[in-house]
Amino acid sequence: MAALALTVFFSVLLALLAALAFLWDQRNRGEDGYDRDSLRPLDDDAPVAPPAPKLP
Amino acid sequence: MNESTTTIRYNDEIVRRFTLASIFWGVAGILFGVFIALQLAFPALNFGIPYTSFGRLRPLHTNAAIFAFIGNMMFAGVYYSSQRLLKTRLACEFLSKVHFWGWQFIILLAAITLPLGLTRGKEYAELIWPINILVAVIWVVFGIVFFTTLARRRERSLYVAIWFYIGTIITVALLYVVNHLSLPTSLLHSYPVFSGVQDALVQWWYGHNAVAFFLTTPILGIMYYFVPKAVGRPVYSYRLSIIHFWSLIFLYIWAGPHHLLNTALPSWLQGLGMIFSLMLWAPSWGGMLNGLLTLRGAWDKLRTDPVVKFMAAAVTFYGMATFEGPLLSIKAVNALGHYTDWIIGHVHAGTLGWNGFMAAGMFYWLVPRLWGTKLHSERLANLHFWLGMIGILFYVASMWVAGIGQGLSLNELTADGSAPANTFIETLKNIIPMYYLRALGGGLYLVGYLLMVYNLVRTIRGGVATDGTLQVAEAAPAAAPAKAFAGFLNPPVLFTLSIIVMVCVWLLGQGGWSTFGLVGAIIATLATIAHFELNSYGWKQWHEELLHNAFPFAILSLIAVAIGGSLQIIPTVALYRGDGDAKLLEGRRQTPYRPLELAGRDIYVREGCYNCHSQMIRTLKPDILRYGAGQGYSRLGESIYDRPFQWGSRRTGPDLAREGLLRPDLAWHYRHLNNPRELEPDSIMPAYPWLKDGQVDRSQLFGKISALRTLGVPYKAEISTPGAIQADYESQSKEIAKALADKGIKVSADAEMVALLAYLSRLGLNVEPIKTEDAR
Repeated sequence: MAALALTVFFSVLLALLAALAFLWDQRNRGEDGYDRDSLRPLDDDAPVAPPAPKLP
Repeated sequence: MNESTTTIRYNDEIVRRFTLASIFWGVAGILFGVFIALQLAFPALNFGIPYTSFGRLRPLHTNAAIFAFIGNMMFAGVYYSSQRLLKTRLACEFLSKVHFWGWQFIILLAAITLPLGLTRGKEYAELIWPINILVAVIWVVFGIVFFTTLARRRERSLYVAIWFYIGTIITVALLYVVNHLSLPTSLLHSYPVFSGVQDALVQWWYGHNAVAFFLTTPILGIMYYFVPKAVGRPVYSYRLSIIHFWSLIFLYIWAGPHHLLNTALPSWLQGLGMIFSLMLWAPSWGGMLNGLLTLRGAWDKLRTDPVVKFMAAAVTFYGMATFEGPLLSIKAVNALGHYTDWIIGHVHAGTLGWNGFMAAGMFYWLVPRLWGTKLHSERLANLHFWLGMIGILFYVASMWVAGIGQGLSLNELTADGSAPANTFIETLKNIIPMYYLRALGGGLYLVGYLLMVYNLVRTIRGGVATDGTLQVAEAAPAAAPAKAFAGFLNPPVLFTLSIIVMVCVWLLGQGGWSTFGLVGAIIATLATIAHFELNSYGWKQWHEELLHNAFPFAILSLIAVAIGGSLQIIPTVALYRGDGDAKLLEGRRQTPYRPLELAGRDIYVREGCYNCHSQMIRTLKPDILRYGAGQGYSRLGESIYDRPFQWGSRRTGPDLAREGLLRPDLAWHYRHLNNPRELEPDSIMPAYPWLKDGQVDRSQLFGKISALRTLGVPYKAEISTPGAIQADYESQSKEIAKALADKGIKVSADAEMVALLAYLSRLGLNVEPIKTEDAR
């Protein structure tokens, strides 16, 4: 019983934390879906986000 | 305004050196692995000589794979990416050369000393104490080069890869120093400062985190740099990488006790080990998803680009291994999997899949750039990928079948539940075919790796060593703060430190202090929230501010990793001692070994017997019925003076904790050690014929016993003099030689075999019951 309670507790906790992390991540995304902070360059020949697709 | 610019030439020479060293040692590490895998399938390959026996070569394989292959690969990746991420040339050129040659010298010393049987007898920490000092010195040199480069950077903010490198350098230093604390008895031998359960906990705190902070965090840093470069996409989520880093380094350090589940380790530690291992699922998979989703929009490259192929597969193996690790840390699952080949399969999914493939991906990306050319053959690289992949699948699948199969057979009881249903040798016989498949898998992986070596050598021969360059503004200011501690004087660092201090006071303080700490932690947290909610720069700047201040960032990383280790190790060292509470020692206490037995124990350690035999009867019915000899499971006090502890991690052979009770026949042991297959045709144990000819160096015994007395082993003064030690040695060795002679075996009383027999026949008998009032 204790093991089940622990499992449920940690599963719920984990799910909550994962949901918070997801929301936190999504708040930082632009319209193109890219994380704004991840667009900072690694170095001078670093990859950058490809341009967002244009609607016809 | 036109700024004048200057050109930085990166120090890529050092990267080339570490790359070549890694490629070379990788061959050695994998070759040794395949060879010892074949030894388990065909024991004749031990050749009956000491230097090629499994117990001595297995540490050579693990050390070569971890420290030589992956170590050099890590240094190459760190030096290459750090210069570019920090926009500066590597600092301390001379020290970087000291780092390179010092590390290769250490590897060379390891390659010489381990086959000679010079070992500390602790997994991945086998090297003898003078080499330990050298490792610590060279690691400090690495740290100086890295942090000086960091201080001279032109890029103010630290990219995620750099966080992982900082975490690695600090934590490995901490782990290595603590687990290698030893008292030397000679130039080539020492005893660990910790003993028994303390030694076990410290060893697996180190051993587990060697995987975490040597094989994982630096490679994650490399992943965060090279995967975006290879796929031409930015890392998927910056915020996920923040969560990944801090939660991973904080949680990982607690998980060491999961290597000691169902043993004599106190249950509170086992519980912590299991819970934190389960929690590790989240950050590990967060990191894996962040790596894989970086391929978003570039999945097509998986079909064409071998670099992306290797890296994506490596990250997938990382996910698989970090799913399996927590699973194996559940006590019930561990009861089945521990001490079996399942663990070997799990470990190799990580090393061959995650580390090996990440290394290959990095080499295929790096070598053409370092030599200013194109990869010689993409087809060969693709062939390498598939050979490696099939090799890993053969390896891991065969070990799963062998491990789970043997675990189930060993745990099976007779219908009335009173005895094990199968003998150990029966269970071993059944898994030998899996050992053939494992060797085949390892062989395929090796062939693939050799293809890579050929491909890269051809690539290098077709190019010219080329250093990367970067144009920067001449007057670019140094990003590091002007004063050493100025970096601490900002809200994120101060608030974080105040919360950590208060939590420590709460957890470690007594009575009023604890309450004060709790209230303080709550107030500090509320003040932090209020500060960042009310100020315009907000939460986003919280971590950004940290990233501009490398020194406090490093200190906070140290605190994050030190908390778990301290809260586990300090109470264990303080409470579970040989002169401690009878209840905590579970009513039994080990008695010191006699001089001959001690000499035998050191031979047992020298031959690496711990690689295949445990000395820990777990609190599980099948273990107790098979190995308990009517005495139940191994109590914590039964090995309380053992230096090093010998609880083991794998039972290729049976447990030996009570061998003296289970099999007191000296003649049987003599014949078995001399040629195991004479008595047990299906045994895969190496023969140890040299033990009957080798002579014990008795002159070392006084120094060894004196060292053990200094460390707290209760040898009485009157039996610890040189004369008393020699007299006792002589009387016991003659007794054993005579007992053997009575059974028709002639052997010198000074032979190493006699000492080893004395030790084996003592196991399980060197224990006395203690009552609460006897303690202290």
